[in-house]
Amino acid sequence: MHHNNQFVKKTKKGQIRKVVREHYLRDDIWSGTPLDEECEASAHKLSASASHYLVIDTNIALHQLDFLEHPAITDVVVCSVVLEEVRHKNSAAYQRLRALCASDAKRFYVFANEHHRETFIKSEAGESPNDRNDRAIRVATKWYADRLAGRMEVILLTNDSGSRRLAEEEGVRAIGAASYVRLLRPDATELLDMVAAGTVVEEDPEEEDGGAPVRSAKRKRIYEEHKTFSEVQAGIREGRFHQGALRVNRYNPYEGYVGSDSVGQDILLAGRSHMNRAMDGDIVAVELLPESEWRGPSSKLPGQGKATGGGSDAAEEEGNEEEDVGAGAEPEVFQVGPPDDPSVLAQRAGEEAKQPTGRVVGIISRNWRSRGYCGSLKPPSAHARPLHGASNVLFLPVERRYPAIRIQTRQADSLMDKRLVVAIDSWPSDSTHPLGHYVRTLGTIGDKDTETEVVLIENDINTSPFTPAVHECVPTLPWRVTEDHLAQPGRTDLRHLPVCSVDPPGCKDIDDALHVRPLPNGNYELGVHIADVTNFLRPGSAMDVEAAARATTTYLVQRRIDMLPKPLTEDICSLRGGEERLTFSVLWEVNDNAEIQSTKFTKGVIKSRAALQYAEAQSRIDDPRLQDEITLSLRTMNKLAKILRRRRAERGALQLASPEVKFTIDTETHDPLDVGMYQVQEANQMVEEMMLLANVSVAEAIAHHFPSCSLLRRHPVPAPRQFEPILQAAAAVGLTLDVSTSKSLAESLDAAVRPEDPYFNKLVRILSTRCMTQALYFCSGDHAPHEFLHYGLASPIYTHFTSPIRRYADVMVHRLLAAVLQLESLPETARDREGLRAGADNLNKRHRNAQLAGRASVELHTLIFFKDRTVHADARVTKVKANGLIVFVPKYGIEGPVYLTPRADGNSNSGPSSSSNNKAVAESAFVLDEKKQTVVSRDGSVRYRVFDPCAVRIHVEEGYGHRRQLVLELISREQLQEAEQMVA
Amino acid sequence: MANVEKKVCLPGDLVQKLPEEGVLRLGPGLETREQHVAAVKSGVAHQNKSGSLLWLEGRQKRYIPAEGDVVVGTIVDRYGETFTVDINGPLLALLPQLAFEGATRRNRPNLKSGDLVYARVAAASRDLEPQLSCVDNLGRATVMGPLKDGILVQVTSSQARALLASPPAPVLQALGASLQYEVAVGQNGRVWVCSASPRTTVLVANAISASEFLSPLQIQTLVGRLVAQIQ
Amino acid sequence: MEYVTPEGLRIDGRRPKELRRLDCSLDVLQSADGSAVFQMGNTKVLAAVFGPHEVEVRNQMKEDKAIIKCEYAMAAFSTGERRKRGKSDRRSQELSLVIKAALEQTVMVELLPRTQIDVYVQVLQADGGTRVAAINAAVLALASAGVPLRDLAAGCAAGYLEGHSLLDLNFQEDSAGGPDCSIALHPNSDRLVLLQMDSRLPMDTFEAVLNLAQDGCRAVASFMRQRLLEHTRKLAMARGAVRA
Repeated sequence: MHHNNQFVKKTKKGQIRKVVREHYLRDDIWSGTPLDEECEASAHKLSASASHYLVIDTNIALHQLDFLEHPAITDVVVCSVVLEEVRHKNSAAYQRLRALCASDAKRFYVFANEHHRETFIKSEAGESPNDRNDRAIRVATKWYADRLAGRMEVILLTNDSGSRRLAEEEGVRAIGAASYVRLLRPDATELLDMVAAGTVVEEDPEEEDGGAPVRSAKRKRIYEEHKTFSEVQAGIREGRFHQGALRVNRYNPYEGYVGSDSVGQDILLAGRSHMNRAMDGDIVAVELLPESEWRGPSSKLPGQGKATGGGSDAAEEEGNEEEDVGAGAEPEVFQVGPPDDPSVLAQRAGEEAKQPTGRVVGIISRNWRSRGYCGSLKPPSAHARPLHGASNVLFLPVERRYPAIRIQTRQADSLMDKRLVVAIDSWPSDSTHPLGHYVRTLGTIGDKDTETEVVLIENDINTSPFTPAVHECVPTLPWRVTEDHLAQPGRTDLRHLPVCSVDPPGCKDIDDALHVRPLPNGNYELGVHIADVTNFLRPGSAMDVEAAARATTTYLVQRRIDMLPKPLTEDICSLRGGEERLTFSVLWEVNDNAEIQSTKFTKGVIKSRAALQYAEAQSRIDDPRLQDEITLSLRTMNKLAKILRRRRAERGALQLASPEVKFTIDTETHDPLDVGMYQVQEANQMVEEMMLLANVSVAEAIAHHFPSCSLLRRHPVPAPRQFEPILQAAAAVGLTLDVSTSKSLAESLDAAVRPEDPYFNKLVRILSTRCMTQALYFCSGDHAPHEFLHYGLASPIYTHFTSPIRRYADVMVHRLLAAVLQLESLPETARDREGLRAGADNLNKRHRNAQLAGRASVELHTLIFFKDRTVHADARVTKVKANGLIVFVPKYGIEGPVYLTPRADGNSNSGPSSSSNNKAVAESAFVLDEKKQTVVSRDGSVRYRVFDPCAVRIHVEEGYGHRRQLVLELISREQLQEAEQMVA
Repeated sequence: MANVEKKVCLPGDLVQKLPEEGVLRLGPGLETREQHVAAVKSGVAHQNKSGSLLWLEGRQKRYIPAEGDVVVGTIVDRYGETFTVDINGPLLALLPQLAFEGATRRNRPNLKSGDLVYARVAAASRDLEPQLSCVDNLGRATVMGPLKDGILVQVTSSQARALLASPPAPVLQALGASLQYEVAVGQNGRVWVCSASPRTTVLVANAISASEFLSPLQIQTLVGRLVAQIQ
Repeated sequence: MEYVTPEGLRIDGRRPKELRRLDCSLDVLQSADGSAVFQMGNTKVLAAVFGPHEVEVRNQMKEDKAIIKCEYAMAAFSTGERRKRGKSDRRSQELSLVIKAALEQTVMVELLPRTQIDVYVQVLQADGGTRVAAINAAVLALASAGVPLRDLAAGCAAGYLEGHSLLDLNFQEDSAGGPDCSIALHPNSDRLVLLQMDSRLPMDTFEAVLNLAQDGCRAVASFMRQRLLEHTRKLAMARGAVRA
C-alpha cells in the first residue's frame, strides 16, 4: 500500500521547498510475540510468559535509559517512531537503546509501526508533530492490546500525564514510570532508584515522592536562571559574553577557569553561585564582573573536616553551605606525577594576583558523562535520623572536580559502604546539587578490585575482552619466522647480528632490541630493532580498529590492560631472547664520537641473543672479567650513549626528575609489600638514548616524505608565566633559575645544589617538571615546522616509533615509514588530515587517561600499603599556606597537606612525640609571607620555609563505611631514624 | 504442425516452433529466431487453415510498405520523370509519371505537390524506396489515379484493414445508408473522403476517425446522431 | 542517516530487495506514432516515438540500418525546486546517448535502412532511477509504435549502502553517495544492453549488486509484458480481432 508523505521544508538559504517522499505500508510486520498466531516464528522476540508487555514513549526512551537497562525490565515494545525521534535528538541515547533492542535477554522488540498498514496514522489538521507521534504510539499500543486481548496485558509507559489521559480515553492502560515500579514491580527494589529524576513539569503533581522531588512553592531559586540560547549567541557576538570550556580546580571544586580567546586570559570563576551549575568540561558563556570585583584564587587550603565530611545537616538540606567548602571537599593526598593541567598552575602562579573574574550566564554545551560517575554516598552526620524507605541522599563522586549529586534511593543503608555509579539527569535552578539517579553498584569501598574498577571507569578505559573478530586477526600459535617472511621485499636477514634487549624485570612484551658492532673503517654499526607489529596489524582489520580506539596499553600496578591481544604482545611480536622475530630496524653508521654518518631503515629478521634486565645489563658492563660479544657490545653502546647524552645536554635537553615509585607486589594476595623510589641506572639511560636517536631519525624521515600527514610529537615551549611557581619558590631561598631557554634552564638546574641537603637538587627538578607543558601528538600539517620542537629533549623534531606493541601512535608511524620505503602504500585513512587530527586528539586523550589511571592505581595501592602501617618518613616542604604546608615525601612519592593549626574537632593523635610543636601550634596562629614562601608562628618559635626538610607521620585514617584517607602529620625531624633520612 | 490460435504476441515472443519440413511463409511482424518463429511487434498472430502462412496483425500508425497494397499518397515533389510521394512510411515512395492510365511522354499527369493519388505498391523492398503505380499490370487504372477534392483522414493500420474488409465495415455501411460520399482507403492508414458538400465530407471523416473501437451498435448510434445534426 | 534499519526496512518502508510501485500507460499522445508513460515510485517519465521516417539530416543517413535520434529532457517542475534545464546540459546529453545506445540494441534497425526513428523522453517527476525509467518508457513507446523490437528491454537500478544491496534506489538513497548501478537487459536472452555504475565497489559486492539489479529488471520486464499484453489484447478485442 502506498502513501506519499508531503511536507514543506525551509532550506538553509531560506527557500521554501515542498518535499514529497514515498511511504509504503506493509502487511508483513509482525507483532513479535508467540501469543499472536499470525506472527511469524522468526520474529518471535517477546516472551509468552511475561506478566505484561510495556510500550514506551519517546521521553522514557530518552531519559530513563538506566531504568530500562536494569535486568528486571524485559518484554518491551519499542515503536519505530520512538527510535527515530531518539536518533534525531541524542545519538548516545540511541546507541544505548539499540543495544537494548539487540540484546536477547532484554527482549525489546522493535515494532515498525510507521510502516504497518493498521497502525500508520496521518497527522490531523493542526496537530503538532509531537502530538502526532504520541498518538501513533497510543494507536500502536491499542493495536497490541486488541490483538492480544485476554492473553496478555499491554501497558503504555509514559511520564506525560496528558498522554496518559488520552490513552485512558482510548481504552489503553497507561502508567508513569515511577508508579509502574511501585504498583507492578515490587520485586525489584532498586528499580525505583533508577527512575531518573525527571523535570517536574512532566510528572503528574499527584505523583509524589516516587519519581521526582516535589516542587514546593516555597523552594527559592538558588542559582541565576541561564539565559536562552539566542540571548547567549547574541551576547557572544556583541562581546558581552565570552565562550570557553570550564576547567575546575582539582583541589577546590568551586573554583574554575574558563579559557577564553576573546579575553586573552583564563577567566576565574570563584564560588558556587558564579559557577552557576556549570561543571568541568562544559562549554559555557561567561560574563565578566566589574574590575573592582576581580580577585585571585583562594589562598587557603580548603576544608578542615575529617574523612567523614563536615557541615551540618540543616545546611545541606537547604543549601546554605559555606562558599568554598563543599561537603567532603578536603584536598586528598595525591600522587605526584607528570605535569598537571594549566588551570592548576595558573592558580599557583601569583596567589593574590588579581585575574579577570566572571560568572556563568549560560551553558552552551553540557559535558555530562553518559557512562556515569563513580563515587559513594555521603555518610550521615552523627545526629542524622536513621534512613529507611526512599530518601534523598548526596552522592560524592571520586573525581574532586564534580559536585555532589542528589539521588533518591531506597537502599541508602546498604549502599553506605559501597562504590556506586550514578548518572546526572538535570540541575534545576532551585536545587543546590545536580539531580541524578543510581545506576549500579561496583563493590565495597576499599576493596582493591572495586577501586580498580572505579579507576578504569573514571578514566574511560575499555577493559572488555577482545571480540572473536579481533582474535581472528592473530596468527595461531606456535608461530615462527618462515621463508616467506624472509622473502618479503624490503626485509633483510639480520639474524647474524649480536642483538640483545634490555628491559625492566618481569617485562614480557619486548618491543625493542639493540646491537652495535665495529666496522672495518673504524666506525660502528649501531642498530635499533623494533618489533614489526604492522606486519600483523593490518589497517582496517577488527584488531586495528580496536587498537586505534584503545590507543595505548594501560599499566596499573597489579594489572595491565593491553592494546593488542596477548599472543601478539608477549609472543609473536615480542623480541624474545633466542627466538627469530620480525623487526622494523634502524641502522646507523656512527663514528667514534657518536656522530651519524649514514642512516638506513629496513624491515628485518633478528635472533636476539639475550633478553636482559637493566640490573643484569648494568652488572655485565661493570664486570671487567666479562669479554663476550654481547658484553663488549653493551659497553660500546654505553660509551656511545654517554656521548649522545652529553651532546643533548649541550643542546639544552632537560634532565627532569620523576618522583615515580615502584611497588613490590605480593604474588598471592596481590597486595603491595613494599614501595620504593624507582632507581634509574646507567643501563636505563643507555637504552633511552638509543630509543631517542631512533625516534628522531624516523621523525626526520617521515616528515621529509609526508610533510602534511606525518604523526609527530611535540613539546611546546612553556610560557614564562608557567614557571612562576618554581621561580617564586626558588627566589624564596635565594636561588635564581634562568628559564629563557631550555639550555639555560638545564644549567640553572645543574647549579641548584645545597651541600647540606643532597636531595635538594632532585626536589627542584621535580618542581620544575610540574611547570612543563604536556607533550602531544600532532599531525605535521597542522603546525609550522618550527613548532615541531620538543622542548624537553631539545630536538627540532620528534615522534614515537619504538613501542608499537603498547602505543598506537607508533603503529601509525611504522605505517608511514613503510610507505616512505615504498614497502606498502599508505592507507587512505592515513592521508586524511581531518582524520589524522581527530586520531592525534584521541591518542593524546587516551594517553592522558592511561597516565591518570596509572597514577590513580598507584594511589590506591599506596592507600592499601599504609592500611595497617604507620610510618615515619622524611619530607620536604613544597608550598606554604596560611594554615598549613604542602609537603612531599620522596620515599613514597606522595604529596599532601599538613595542618599547622589544630583541626576543627581537636586532634587526638598528637601524643607525646609532637608535644613541643603542638603547644606552640595550639597557642599561636601563623603568619604567611608569600614572597619569602615562609610561614612563621606568631611568637617566632616555629618556622617553615619552602624546601625545608621536615618529617611526617603517615597513616591511614578510617572513616565511615570503609572510607579511608591518607593523613600526614608533622613530627620533629629528630624522630626520624638515620636510615630514613633522605639522600639524593 | 500446431495451429496457432489467434494469440496475442509481444515483441520477442516465440510464436511457434519451426516445422521440420515444408514451407512456412511469414508475414510482416514475424521472423525466425533460432528454431522458432518470433514476433517483433505486438499484435495478434494468425494462421491460415493449412498452417502454411503465419502473419501478425498489429495496430500501428506508421505504414510499412508491402507489395500489392493500395495506398493513398500525397505528392511531395517531382524529380525528372518521377513523383516522390509521402505514403506515411519510412521512406518517400516513387511514382513514375508514366504509371498512369493513358499517360505518355507528351501527356503527363499534371500533379502538383500536395495532390493526392490512389496507387498500388508495385515494389517494396527494405533497402529501396517503394515504387508506386497507378495502373495495374495490364495498364488499367481501375480505381487508381489522382484524387480530387476531398479531405485526408488518418487512421491506424488495423482500422484501414477493417475498412477494406468485405462485407463493408459497419461505419461505411451506416454512413452509406443516409449519405452520399466517396471514400478511398489506403492500407497505409490514409483515407480520402469526398462528398457533395463540405459538411458531409467532414461528417464522414469524423465518423471514420471516431469509429475505430466502437461496436456496430455504437457505430449506428454515432452515425445516427451525426446525421441528425445535418438534417 | 540510517538507510536500512536493523529490522530490514528502508526509509520508505521497503525491504532491500523490493521494487517501488510500478505503473504505466500506453498510447497517451495522439500526435506521436507511439507513446508511453512509465512510473517507478514517484519517478514518472513520458516517452514519445516518431517514425520510422526519412532521415532529416542527409549525411547522418546509414545505408544498412535505421538511425535512432534520442532526446532526454527533464521538465522544470520535475524536482523539488523548479529549475529550467536546457536539453543541452551535460547530464541530459549523456543520458540521451546512453538511452540511444540501449535502444539501438533493442530495435531491429537493420530492418529499416536509411530511415530515422525519433525518441523523445521527458521526465515529469524525478525521484531517483530516471535513466532506467526512461529506457522502460521508450521501449514501451516503441512497442506501441510498431517499431520492430528484438525483445522488451527492461531497466532497473541497484545500489549498495551500509552493507546492504538495495534495489531501485529513490532520490534520498541515491544521494547518499554510495555506488549506483543502472542496468537494462533483454529478458528472453538475459543479455545486458546497458551497464552503468558510478562510485566504486569491490568485485564480489559488485556481482551481488549486479545480480540483484538483474532480478529487478526481470521483475520490471514481466510487469511491462503484462501491461503491454493487456493493452494489445484490449485493442484487438475492441476491433474484433480476438474474442475475449
